[in-house]
Amino acid sequence: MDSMNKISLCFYAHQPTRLRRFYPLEGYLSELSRSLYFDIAQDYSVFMRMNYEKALNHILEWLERDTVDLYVYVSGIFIEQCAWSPELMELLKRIMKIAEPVCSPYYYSLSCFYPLLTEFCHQVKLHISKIEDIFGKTSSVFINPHLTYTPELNSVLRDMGVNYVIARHDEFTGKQDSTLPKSVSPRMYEDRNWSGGVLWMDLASPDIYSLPDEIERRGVDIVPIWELAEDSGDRGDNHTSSISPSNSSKTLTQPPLKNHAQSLFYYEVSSLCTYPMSPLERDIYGRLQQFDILLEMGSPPPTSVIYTLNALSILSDFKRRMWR
Amino acid sequence: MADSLCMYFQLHQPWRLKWFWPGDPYDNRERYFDYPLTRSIFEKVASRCYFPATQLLLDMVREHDFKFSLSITGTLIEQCELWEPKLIKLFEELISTEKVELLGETYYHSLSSLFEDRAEFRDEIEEHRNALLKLGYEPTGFRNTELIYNNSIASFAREMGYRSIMTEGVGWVLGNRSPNHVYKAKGSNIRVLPRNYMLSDDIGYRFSAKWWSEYPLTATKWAQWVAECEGDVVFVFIDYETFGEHHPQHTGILDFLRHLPTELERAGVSCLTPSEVVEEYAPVGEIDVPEFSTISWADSERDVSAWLGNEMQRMCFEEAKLLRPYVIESVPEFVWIWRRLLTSDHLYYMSTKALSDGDVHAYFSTYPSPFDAALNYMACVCDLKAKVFREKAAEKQRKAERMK
Repeated sequence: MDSMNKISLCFYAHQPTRLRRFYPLEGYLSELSRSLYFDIAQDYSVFMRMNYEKALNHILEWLERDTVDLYVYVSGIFIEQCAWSPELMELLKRIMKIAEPVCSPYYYSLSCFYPLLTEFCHQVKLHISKIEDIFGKTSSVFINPHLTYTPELNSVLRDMGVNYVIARHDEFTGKQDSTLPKSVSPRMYEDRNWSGGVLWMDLASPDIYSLPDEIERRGVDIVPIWELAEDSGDRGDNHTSSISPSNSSKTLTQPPLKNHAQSLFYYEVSSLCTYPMSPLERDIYGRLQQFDILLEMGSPPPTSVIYTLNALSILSDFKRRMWR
Repeated sequence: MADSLCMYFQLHQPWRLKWFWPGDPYDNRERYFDYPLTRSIFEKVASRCYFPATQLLLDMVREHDFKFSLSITGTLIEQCELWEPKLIKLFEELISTEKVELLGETYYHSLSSLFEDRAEFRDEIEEHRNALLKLGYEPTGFRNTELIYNNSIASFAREMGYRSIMTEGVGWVLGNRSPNHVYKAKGSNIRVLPRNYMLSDDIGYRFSAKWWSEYPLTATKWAQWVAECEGDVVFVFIDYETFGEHHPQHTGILDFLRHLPTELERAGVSCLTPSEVVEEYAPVGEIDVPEFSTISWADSERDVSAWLGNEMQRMCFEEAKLLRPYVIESVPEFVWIWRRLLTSDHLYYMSTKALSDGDVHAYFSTYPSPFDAALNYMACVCDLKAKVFREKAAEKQRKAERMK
C-alpha cells in the first residue's frame, strides 16, 4: 500500500482545572490552597458529565476485535480527575495495556516558549513519570498544547526518551537527523485528507463511534507512528514540506496567543518560572499555566475580559505570596 | 420665585494610563502613567477652556456682582503646576476677588467615599484641603466626587468641618419637593445643596444641541428661567470644561457666559456662594439617602453604576481598594501611583452602558472599548501589587540584616 494512504491514530483526553471566581479579600484572609483559586466542584461536575466510559468501552471492544496500533494521550490533570471514577480508570488501564501513551507538559502548558526550558522539562518529566506510575509504560511520542512546537525542544525531548512529536509542520523546523525526534502531522476527523498524518481525536467526540467504519470507507491503513515518520524520511523529504498540515480545521489555524489579554497573562505567568516555590505553590503554579486558561481569554468580550480580570487577580494574589 | 443662583464649576483631569506592558523598561510612575497623553489632553483643554474661561470669569467678577464657586481636583492642580503654572496664578487672582469660593473634595477625584473604612477618604480630603490652603483658600463647602452622596458621606463631611455639601437633586430623594431650597442631611446638621439638573443640563448638556426646541439658548432666556423657578435658590453645578471644550467656542458658549451677569441682574437674580447660601437660607426639610441607595450626578440612573455598574468595574475597584493597608506602609512613590489609580475616571471608562449614557462614557475615554480599559487597569493594579509586596519583603530582609 502507498505510504500516503497510511495514518496513525491517537485519542486524547484532557480536562483542565478551572479557575473559580476569586475575591481578592479571600486571598488576603486565606492560607494558600488549591481550592482558593480553582473550582474543583465544577471540574467534578464537568468530568462526570462527559461520559468517557462509553467511549472507552467502545474503543476497548474495537481493540479486542481488531489489531490496531493506537496512541492515547491523557493529560496529567485528566489522569488526576480519573480518580473520581475508578471504573473509568480501570478501562483506561486496560486500553493502555494495548495502546502507546503520549506525553506532554503535565499541566498542558505552553511552557516550551519560556526563556528557560527548566519548567517545560519539569512538567514533561512529571507527566512521563505519572504515566509510568499509573500505566506502567514509557512514552516516546510527544505532543504540545495546540500542537505547537519549537526546535529548541529537540534535544531536551530526546534526552527524555522522546522519538516522535505530533506537531504542525509549519512549527517543526528540525532537520532530518537521527538524533532528533521526528515529527508527524496531525489530521482532524473533519479533514478531507487523513493520509500520512496522525488522526487526532478527542475521546469525548461522538465521531469515535463511526471511526472504524470511516477508516474502512476511506481505505486507509492504521500504522504505528514510527512507520509514518520512516516513510516520510525514506522519501528524503524535508519535514517542513513533506506532510503539510490541513487547513480545514479551525483548531489548527488559530494561533495560541491571539490577543493582548492572553499575551499579558502568559507573560506574567512565565515570569514566575524561576521563583523558588514550595510543593503546593509549584502545583498551583503548574495549574495557572494551563493552556485552557489562555483559550478562555480568546472568547468574545465581556466574558473573556471578566475571565481575564479574574485570572490576573488570582495570579497577583499568588505572586504576592512569592514575596515572603 | 427664586431670587438667588448658586453656581459651581467642576475642574478635573485624571492621570491617564499607558497601554501597560509588564516587560517595558520603566520604573515608578512612568511605568503606569502616560505623561505625553495626559499632557496633550491637558494642554488642549487649557487652551480651549481653562485659559479663556478663567480670564473671562475674572473679568466678569471684576465688572459685576457675579459670584460662583470652583471645585478643582488635586490631580488637575498638579497638572497645572507641571505644565501651565500661569493657570494657578489666574485661579489665585479669582480667589483674591473674594467672590469665588473653592470647594473641598477628594484630592484624587476618587471613589474612596465608598470604601468601608473612612481612613482613605479622610486622607484625601485632608490632602485636598492642604492643596487649597496653598492657593490661599480654606474650603467650607464640600462636593464629593461626581456628587456621590449618602447620609454617611454627609455626616462624615460634617465631621471633617464642612458646613455644606452638594449633591444631585434626584427625584426619588426629593419626592414632590423642589431642589431650589437648602436642606439638612439626615443624621447630621450639614446643609445639603441639591443640584437643579434641568437648568444645569440646559447649559452643560443641551447648550449646543440643535435638536433642542429651545436652541439656541441665550443668557436672557436662561436667566429668565432661573428667575421663574419656584423656591429660594437655584443650584447649578456643571463641568468647567463646558466652556470651550464640551461646547467649543464657536457654539457661542463663552458669549453666553459673558452676558450672564447682566441678564441675571436684569431678571432680579443675585449670585451667591455656598457659604452665603448657608448663612442666608434656613433648611426647609431633610434629605435622606441610605448607603444602599447612594446617589450621584452621573448617567440617567443618578447612582454609582457609572463606576461600579458592571462586574469588570467591581473587580477592579475591589483589587485597588484592598491594596490600601499595604501601599500606605510602603514607599511614597507607590502611594503616589496607587492614589492616582483610584481616580474614578479609570472605572468610568469601563462602563458598558448603552444608548446616550454609553456615548457620554465613550466621549471621555481614550480607550477603544471598555474592555481594553478594564484589562489595562487591572494589569496596572496587579503589577503595582506585586511591587508593593516585593518591596515589603525586601524591607523585611533589610531589617533582618540590620539586626544581624
